[in-house]
Amino acid sequence: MAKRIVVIGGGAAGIGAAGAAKGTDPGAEVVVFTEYQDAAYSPCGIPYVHGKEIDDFQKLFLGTKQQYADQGIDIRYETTVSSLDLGARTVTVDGRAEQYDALVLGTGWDYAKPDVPGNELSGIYYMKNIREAMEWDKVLDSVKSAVVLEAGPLGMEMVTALAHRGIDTHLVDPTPWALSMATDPDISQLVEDSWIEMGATLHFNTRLEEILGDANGAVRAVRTSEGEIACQLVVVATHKVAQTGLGSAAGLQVGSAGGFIVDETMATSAPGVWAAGDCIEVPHGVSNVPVQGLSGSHAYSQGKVAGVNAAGGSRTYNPVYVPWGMVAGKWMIGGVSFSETLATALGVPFVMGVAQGISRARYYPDMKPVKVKLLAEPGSLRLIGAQLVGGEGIKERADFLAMAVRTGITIRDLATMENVYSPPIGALNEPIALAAQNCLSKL
Amino acid sequence: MSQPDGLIPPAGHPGGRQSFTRWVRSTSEHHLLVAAQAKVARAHGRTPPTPRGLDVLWQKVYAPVFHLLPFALRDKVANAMPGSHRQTWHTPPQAKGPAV
Repeated sequence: MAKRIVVIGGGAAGIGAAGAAKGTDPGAEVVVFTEYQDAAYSPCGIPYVHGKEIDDFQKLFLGTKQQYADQGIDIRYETTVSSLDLGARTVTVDGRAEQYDALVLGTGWDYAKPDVPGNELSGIYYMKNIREAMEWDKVLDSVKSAVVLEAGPLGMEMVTALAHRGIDTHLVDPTPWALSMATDPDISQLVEDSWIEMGATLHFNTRLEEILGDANGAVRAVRTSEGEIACQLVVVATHKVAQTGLGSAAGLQVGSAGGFIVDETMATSAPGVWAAGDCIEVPHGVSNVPVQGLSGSHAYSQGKVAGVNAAGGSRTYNPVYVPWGMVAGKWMIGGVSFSETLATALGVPFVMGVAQGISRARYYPDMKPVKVKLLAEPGSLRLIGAQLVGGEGIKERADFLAMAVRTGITIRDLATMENVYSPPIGALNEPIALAAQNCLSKL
Repeated sequence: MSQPDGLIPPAGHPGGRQSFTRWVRSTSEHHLLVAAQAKVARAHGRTPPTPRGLDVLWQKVYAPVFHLLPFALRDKVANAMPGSHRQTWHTPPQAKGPAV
């Protein structure tokens, strides 16, 4: 009899798990339950449709419904799982019990909702679901002024998108600079300056106190610690909260980062149940502290590990170092692991090197600046973090530096690294090497 | 990683039923991060927000006391918290020497 593998969630983790399970055991019955109308699209692409860089939401879909059906993956759309019975190995769907042999949870995340008066008004946009985004995109055509709450990764992309679209955009953030949980002000400065050039107004050190509505219950302004800002739209881009309600109600253990506790096979605290993506927490490779709310690529990789193991195979996942990057304003910004701010917060000792280099030969057209900041453990000089901002080559350097942190490469290694030199694609001096040399010169 | 002030999980959201250890971690992380942001902001010529109300206690008392504790003790407390880090995780071995 075919093994029945049930997946809850149709995002990157859920679809990754379903595909990997089917690939591992082609005879298995793989069923995916998702509460949405669609599965397997790129929510990370939504800001770029809003910003008009991408002309059609349809381009964000990774596959058609028929393609998944042809692969033998049975996706049940607009279907909500209301409870789990881990003992009986059933999930409850529309009041009836569905049996499973193996269960994978990919229940994802939600935004932290602003705990202020007016948070139920119309005109408050939580960017996540593509169908809702399509409707909000029509609304954006008539919006003249918008407030984006918090300069996290999604907030930074939305400030850029709305400003690019010509909307009078205000960023409201309680911290002193953009992406302050992951970067330092000397790195975010270029991005912030470019937002101002694009017409955005930045309100740092500013707390949201109330969302104000008109007589029709629609947003007309926000009241902040620094005054009132008129707007027709509020984009909530607060941090990701793991959606663990279904599993924790059934008895699955949740950790200190708020996600399901899993091991390297993505197995949860219950036999026969795996979990992946933004609903779990995984240990950080540098600090060993569990972290939650990572990228779509993390969710997809974790989903594949969970799916393989749920289908009877064997695959493991590693602690994470979290390389990240994005286009923000007119720049690319990225990094990995510790910033000066985060290391200071946690009392992690560090030495530091910073350098401003260039992306191509100085005489080659479209040469762009590339700024690199490296942090290393004193003594051993092992790299523990990096940040970058520049015009190009940021993602590739962030990926490389993530491997450098993961494999224990030192500042001395980086200071003497070899680099590609070719005028159209690389300068004589690699900015990473320059930053490492700057660090060594100060020891 | 922070839990900014004035924000709570959505109504009915399971994050609203966070455990004590979850609360300890998120509250501690948030205030340590705010204190670090203030320090780094000043170092880079920026103005940090002025702490108000109970935040003063967290910023002026909790954060400095935390940093006075030995690193090994702080590490031990962090590792004692429930979480995925206490499950089985193997770090891939690193190859040494020439590849061929």
